[in-house]
Amino acid sequence: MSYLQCIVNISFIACLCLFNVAGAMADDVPGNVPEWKAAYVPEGDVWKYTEQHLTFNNGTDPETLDPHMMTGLPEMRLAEALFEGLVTYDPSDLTPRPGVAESWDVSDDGLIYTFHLRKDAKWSDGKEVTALDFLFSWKRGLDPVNRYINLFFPIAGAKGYSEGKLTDFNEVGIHVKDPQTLEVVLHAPCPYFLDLVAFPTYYPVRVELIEKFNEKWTRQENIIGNGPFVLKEWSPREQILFEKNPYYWDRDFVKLELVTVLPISDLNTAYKLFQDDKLHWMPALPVARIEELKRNPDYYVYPMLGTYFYRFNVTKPPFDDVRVRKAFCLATDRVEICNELLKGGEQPSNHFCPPVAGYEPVEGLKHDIVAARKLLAAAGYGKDKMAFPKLEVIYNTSEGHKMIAEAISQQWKQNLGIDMGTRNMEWKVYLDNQNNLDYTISRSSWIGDYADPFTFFSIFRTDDGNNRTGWSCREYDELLDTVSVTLDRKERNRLFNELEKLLVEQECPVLPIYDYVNKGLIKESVLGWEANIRDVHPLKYIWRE
Amino acid sequence: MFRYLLRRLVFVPIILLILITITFFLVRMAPGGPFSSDRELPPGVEEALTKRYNLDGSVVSQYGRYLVRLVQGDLGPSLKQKDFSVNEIISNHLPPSILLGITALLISLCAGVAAGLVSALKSNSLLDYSTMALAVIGISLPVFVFGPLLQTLFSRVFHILPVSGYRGISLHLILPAVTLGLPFAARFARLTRAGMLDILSEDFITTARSKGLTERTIVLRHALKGALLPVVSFLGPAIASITTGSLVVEKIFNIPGLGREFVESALNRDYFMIMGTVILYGTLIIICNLAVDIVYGFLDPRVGNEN
Repeated sequence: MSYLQCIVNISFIACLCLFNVAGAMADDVPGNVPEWKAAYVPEGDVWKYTEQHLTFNNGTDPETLDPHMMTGLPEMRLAEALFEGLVTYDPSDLTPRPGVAESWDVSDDGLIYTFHLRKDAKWSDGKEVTALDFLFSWKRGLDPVNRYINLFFPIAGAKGYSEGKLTDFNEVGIHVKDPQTLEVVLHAPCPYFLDLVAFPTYYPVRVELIEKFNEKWTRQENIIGNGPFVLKEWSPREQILFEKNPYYWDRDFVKLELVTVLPISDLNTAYKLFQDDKLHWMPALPVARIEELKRNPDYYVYPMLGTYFYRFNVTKPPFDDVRVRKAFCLATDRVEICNELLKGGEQPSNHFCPPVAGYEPVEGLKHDIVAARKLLAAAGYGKDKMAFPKLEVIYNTSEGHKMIAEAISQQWKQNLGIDMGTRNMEWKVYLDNQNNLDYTISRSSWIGDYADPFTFFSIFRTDDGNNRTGWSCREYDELLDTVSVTLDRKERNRLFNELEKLLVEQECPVLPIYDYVNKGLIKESVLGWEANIRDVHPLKYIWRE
Repeated sequence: MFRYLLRRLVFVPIILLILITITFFLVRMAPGGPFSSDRELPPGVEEALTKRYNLDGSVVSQYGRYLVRLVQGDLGPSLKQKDFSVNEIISNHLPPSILLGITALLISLCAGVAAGLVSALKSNSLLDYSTMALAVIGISLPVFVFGPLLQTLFSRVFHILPVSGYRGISLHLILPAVTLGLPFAARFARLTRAGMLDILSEDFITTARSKGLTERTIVLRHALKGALLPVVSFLGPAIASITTGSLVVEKIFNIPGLGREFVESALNRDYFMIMGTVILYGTLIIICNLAVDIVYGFLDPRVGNEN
């Protein structure tokens, strides 16, 4: 990917020189544009005559604009415009790129990160962004009302401080060396730490503002950010308007002048607006019309860092028997589910963690009815043997989940002769049942928090709150401990493969179904928008032509 | 009449208190809580959130604290829309709902009563049958079909009305108001027709006819008042429900109304938001019913005489 990117960039620059427009470009963007960024500098000046106004549908009103309180993608999409962390994501491959930090050094043991902040980083009221702002913000982020507090835990002392075991914040590994230097000490090496630093929970906020206005600090009249855009208007459930931030350090690079964010939850309505050119980007589609939408030239689909799977409750018979779990995995035809049912480009999956950051998942258990029947018979079920109890798959109420559950249940009936019922539940009831292990098989999904397989595998540690299967495996837990202190990429991936083998080939507390994809519509006139596995599309890079 | 009104008013707070109490304890019995999600909260976070939102201690003590704040006019914070209080959410989203609701009500009242009158006066004619058939369709056609149908027709095909959005009193209001009003119009038409047919067969109408009054005078002066009584009594709950918004219409036309909050607050276990919507709706129903009783007194001489 990055190699290809490189070639594209080089040929792009070559083109610029050939057509002698390099001079014009130099006028537009003063200073040196790093190579990775050059792809986001518009060619020629057609874009200057186009209204730099983007309208996109966010699907819902944000629950909050406070980076320490947010949990969902719609909120993070907005926060990313209003705030900027030390490090930002590269729009195409999510590599950590300079944000407020101009550069950073990592000690050889991977424990000390020294961030060098740029001098021209400013808040939207003109005040300088300093290392102290980050210290105060992260201190606030360690208040346990922050649901993403655990993303701070790689920092030495952070966990203890949040739990009240450590009372002196000076002992937490966040040190201000001078206004432009922030040193962060980790308690153990964390190869994806920079990825975390780019996450909204690490954004700086103006703490004195929050003390003054409490939860009202995010209102348009109060909020001060340091991102490429400022909040011009927030009319709940009507629209949100962003305007270019005149104090942003990289303001000359930002092309969009105005961004309208719509909260339309009825996707058919959004599609009508898209057809009317009133909407330029919609990241969610009315799935019932997927066949029609796929023919639209503005349609896009690409892999996403998420997986759709079923959990087995391994604490109760019959799924306490690994042979039964395996039999069910082998008897499930994911290809049919993806190609005949979903038809949206979802990738059938026999693994748990989608390919990410150079990680290649294991083969897993392929569709094999004969093997499935054998295992089931070995477990004592079948003709002239024990009858399989009448059980149910639970899912939270949704047309899509219902479709999949019924199709899979039909496959089991055909392949194993087992009649599994399906039952929908209201979201909160379903969560309650899953949490209390009050189910047999439960629909599930997991979206990665950062671009590292650890975000997937760590949830099946014994007694992890997200395990929710009752499964416990000592070998697995020990492997997790080893991988969390392993820095070498190759060795890490090998260990992750071991973990995945245990999870989907040997022990099977889960039944993988497919890898999620991002599907949406985007107008051809929108440039600088890149596909990536996190569905992160920084507005800073986008322009219209 | 005045004493009757006073007596009814005294009961309002009592009814509301019963409503608040039942709702408060009922929502706490529902499985799952406001902070549960498909992602386990890190240790300590649930406790911190519980404390921050005043959800610690026994349910009875929470109920006590809630009532104290309620008396001061504080409906509490929203647990889902974290940057807003319930008071703010209601004051943000009630006005669009009222505007849309009143528009829808006016449209449906005019269309419904007119259609009902026409089919009653021309009863058992083709006109009557077709009007009533339309009314049945209006009642049974789901809003989620009718709304998108109108959208497609008027904005995608003819390009005369906007697809969605809310801009106060504007063209944006027409499609959602018609969508929201359709089932009500149908109800009004059927009620008017039934009421009118009833009245027209009464003795006093026959008397009026025999006096040689014109059909027009009979209908407008003598029959209409009585015929509208069922419409008026339906109007009470209709106003309360139409002005507090509709989830489906708001979703289809992206209207920032209150209907969404009713449904989603319950699904999200947004405890204080649920209470806020229930209190609002309960108060509205009580007021509307009271108003209907007063109007009844003017329309039907028999009601006024009793007091």
